[in-house]
Amino acid sequence: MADPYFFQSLNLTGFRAYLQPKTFDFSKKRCLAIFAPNGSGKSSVVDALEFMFSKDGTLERLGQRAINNKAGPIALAHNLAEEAQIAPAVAISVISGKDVTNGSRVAAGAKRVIPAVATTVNACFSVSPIIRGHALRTFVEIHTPEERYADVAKWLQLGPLVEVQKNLRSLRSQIKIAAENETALQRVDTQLARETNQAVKSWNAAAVLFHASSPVRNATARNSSAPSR
Amino acid sequence: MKPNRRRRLITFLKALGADLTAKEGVDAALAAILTTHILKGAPSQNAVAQAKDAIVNLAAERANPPKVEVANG
Repeated sequence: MADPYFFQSLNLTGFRAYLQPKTFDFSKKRCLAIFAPNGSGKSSVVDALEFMFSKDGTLERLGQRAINNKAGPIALAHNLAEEAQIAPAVAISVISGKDVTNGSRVAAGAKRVIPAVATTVNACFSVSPIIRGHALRTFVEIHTPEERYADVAKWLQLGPLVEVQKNLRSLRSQIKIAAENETALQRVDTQLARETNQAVKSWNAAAVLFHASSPVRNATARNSSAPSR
Repeated sequence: MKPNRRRRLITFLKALGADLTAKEGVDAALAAILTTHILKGAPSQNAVAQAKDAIVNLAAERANPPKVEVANG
């Protein structure tokens, strides 16, 4: 099995809340939590990670660019980046075994090409690395159990298994309906009754003798009832 | 979904179908129907209807076993 990747460092320049270059060193501690007052740029760190690994070089929470807003990729850059002539970018450094790989992604312009290292690490994610607080709040407070189940399945990318489960449930209910179909059961009952009409349920010597002698009795009865000449 | 992820899920479903079919105490014909129609990465639109028809046919076959031919004489 290949060695896992660990972040060594993350650098933000002119990106979101960080105008001047800021490097976060993760090489000493592998487990990380960020505590800071509001407006200190905590979200920008997570934004930088989402941006780095995003397919289109944007952030889901930035929304769509329109005439009357500054949404979309343009919001990746710090407000003053252009004025300060700072090129917005995010850079990462990862280590796998002893190999350190660096990559940088420009956060302005039409082409915000994903670096090779981000593509490589991206392929290793089996679960989306970013789950936002608002998604968790909606998950806990608003969603029904069924919706929560669908959310977890989506986060864990279990779509095909959920589809299989849905199909199995549907099949089970359809089979139940077919098995309890009264018309079909009556047809089988009728067929069974017809085919077992002459069956001997248990050996009863007197009944067998009675049945076997019925033609004789019938003939006798006919003869006795016929007018004598 | 990433291709690797999808491939792994499909492999899992195939293995599940094979395991189910070979498992003692499991109706092999029924398991084969589930494997063919339901336990797939990309089931067809009418997979459930096809599986239901196959199960109903199987039940009908079992309810009407072929008659044993009795040789005359």
